[in-house]
Amino acid sequence: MSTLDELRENFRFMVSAVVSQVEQTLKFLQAPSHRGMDKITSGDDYIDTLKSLIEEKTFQLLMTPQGMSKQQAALLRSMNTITSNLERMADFAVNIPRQMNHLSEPSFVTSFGFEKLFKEVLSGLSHIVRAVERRDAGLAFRICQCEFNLDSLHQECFATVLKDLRAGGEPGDLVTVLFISNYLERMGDSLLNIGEAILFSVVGEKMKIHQYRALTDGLGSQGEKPPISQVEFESIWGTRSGCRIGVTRKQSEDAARPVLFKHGNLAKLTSEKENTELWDQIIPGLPPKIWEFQPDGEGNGSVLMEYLTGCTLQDMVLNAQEEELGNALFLLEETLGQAWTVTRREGEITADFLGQLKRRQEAVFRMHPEFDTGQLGIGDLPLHSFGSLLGMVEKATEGLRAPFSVLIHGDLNLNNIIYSGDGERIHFIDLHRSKYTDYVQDISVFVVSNFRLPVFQRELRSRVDASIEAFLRFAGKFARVTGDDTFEARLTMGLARSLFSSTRFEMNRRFSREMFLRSVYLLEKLKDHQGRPWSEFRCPVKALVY
Amino acid sequence: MTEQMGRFKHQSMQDSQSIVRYLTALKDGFENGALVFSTNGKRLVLKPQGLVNLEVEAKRKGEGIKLSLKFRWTEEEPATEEGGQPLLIETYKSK
Repeated sequence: MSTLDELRENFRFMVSAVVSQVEQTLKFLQAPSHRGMDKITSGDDYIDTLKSLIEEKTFQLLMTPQGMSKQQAALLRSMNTITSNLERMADFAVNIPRQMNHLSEPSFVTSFGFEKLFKEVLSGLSHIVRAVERRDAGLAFRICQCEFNLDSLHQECFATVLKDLRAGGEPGDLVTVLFISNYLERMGDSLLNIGEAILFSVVGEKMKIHQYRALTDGLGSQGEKPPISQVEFESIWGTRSGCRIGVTRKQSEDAARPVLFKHGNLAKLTSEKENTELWDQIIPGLPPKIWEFQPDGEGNGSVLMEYLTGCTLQDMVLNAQEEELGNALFLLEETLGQAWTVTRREGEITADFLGQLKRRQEAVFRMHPEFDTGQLGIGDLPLHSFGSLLGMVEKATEGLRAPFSVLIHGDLNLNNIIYSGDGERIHFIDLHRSKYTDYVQDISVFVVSNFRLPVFQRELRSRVDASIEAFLRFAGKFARVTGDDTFEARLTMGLARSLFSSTRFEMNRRFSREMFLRSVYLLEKLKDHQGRPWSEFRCPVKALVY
Repeated sequence: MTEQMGRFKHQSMQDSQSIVRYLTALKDGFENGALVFSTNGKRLVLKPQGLVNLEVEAKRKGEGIKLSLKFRWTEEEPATEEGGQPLLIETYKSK
């Protein structure tokens, strides 16, 4: 039996041990006995042992040198979280019989209807194994739902206890009842954690349950309030920008309409909504349609938008046939060329690449303190610190501005471009940073999002290189046609900026160092050009070939 | 007096034009009899004297090329940055 199979078996045992522990506790509550107490205590030891075993095996598997798929790793992580929470639930189960000692008469508890709370707990537990094994988000949600039911049952109990206390009830007994109810309510908290952990293993992204509530509200106010089981999470696009994105499909009789749900910072979602609408006026159908927009009153909001079928350009670069990839890149160039031409506004503008870079400096150095080398020198040759190099480049490039502005995407990385399933067009998503500025910003972000793909196998890498080169050729041509003669200098700044800030997300030390050194190389070239016309500057594009 | 240090390390990306500046800095150091490496004001001064063991290694592994130059020598006592110190001549003790 493989370690993974053993782990699954241990996990199933763990769940059933906790189920039996909770059942024993209920029995004890109904008819306390020494034998019942002994059973519960020994059951707890068994659960502790199983927990250590599962913990050990998950870590062992996670440390396997050959690695594993993201999905498998997410499953192991979630099994570990579930196990910890199960163990906590078992501890609460042991604490309940202990409370019974404080009662003047054990049968005192029978009138408080604890059976209902136990039923909720047991119902939550009964879904765990199936939800994990089938990666079932619907079941995961039902587990989460138990927490809300337990909360309201606990509230009822709390209210009864208060009422009885006021009526002169026995305080010792009533406080004990409250403690028991509280332990059951805390089991609900653990069930919520378990449900969320299962969702994590299904969608590969940490989700908070209130996102699902917002989601059902959104669907509901469109006139159809579906039961939760109809909301099915299909996949997820994780972004690094603080919003979490899930894909849901509404199953109605006529046609399934997949919708994308986003929950996050209200200001960010508001600008995304406004920019999406703006883009839709410029190139209809380029961004997704927005179905619903809901502020939640706590500085957050939810958006339900059209789920665009197709693949991201990142998938295309990595997996598609050469011809399909060529078509996707051609469509991207067409779309950008059209957008830049239509939205062009005369008047100089700066994207402030160096300012953007400076604002990321602290975060990058926190992640990679070794980049902050300080001021070095070899004989008379000064080797500038990153900060002082930046200062020199700022001075050298003072007054360097784009001759016109256009509406840019604002975060044109490979994951924010969707190639439609029919191969007819592309779409832009995640438009919250869209604005009128230097088009070089989009170009450099796009190029670096290709470069930073952690692809090191020669054949795949040359696809990445080719996509970068083709795109730069297109962008250079646009610059020539529009008479933008400082394009290459600004492009170099933009690339330096994106290479530098991308190191924040790169855990592979060698690759992040590569990106950092290339960023410094580009900045050095800009510094050395000081005093000469920027129209003569040539971007050393070889810095983008890995 | 400037603080001394025992180690200097620098890594950068260069092209064949800009790399010449580094080689020139090292060449100048050898010609002047002192190679000065500095980090945030701390200095490591190396004074190659006597024989210097030079190792040149070039290799190609697929598309990756590595060329390394290694200089090794011993200094009788830690070099100081003061150039005008009186020269001490000591007899070598047998080991």
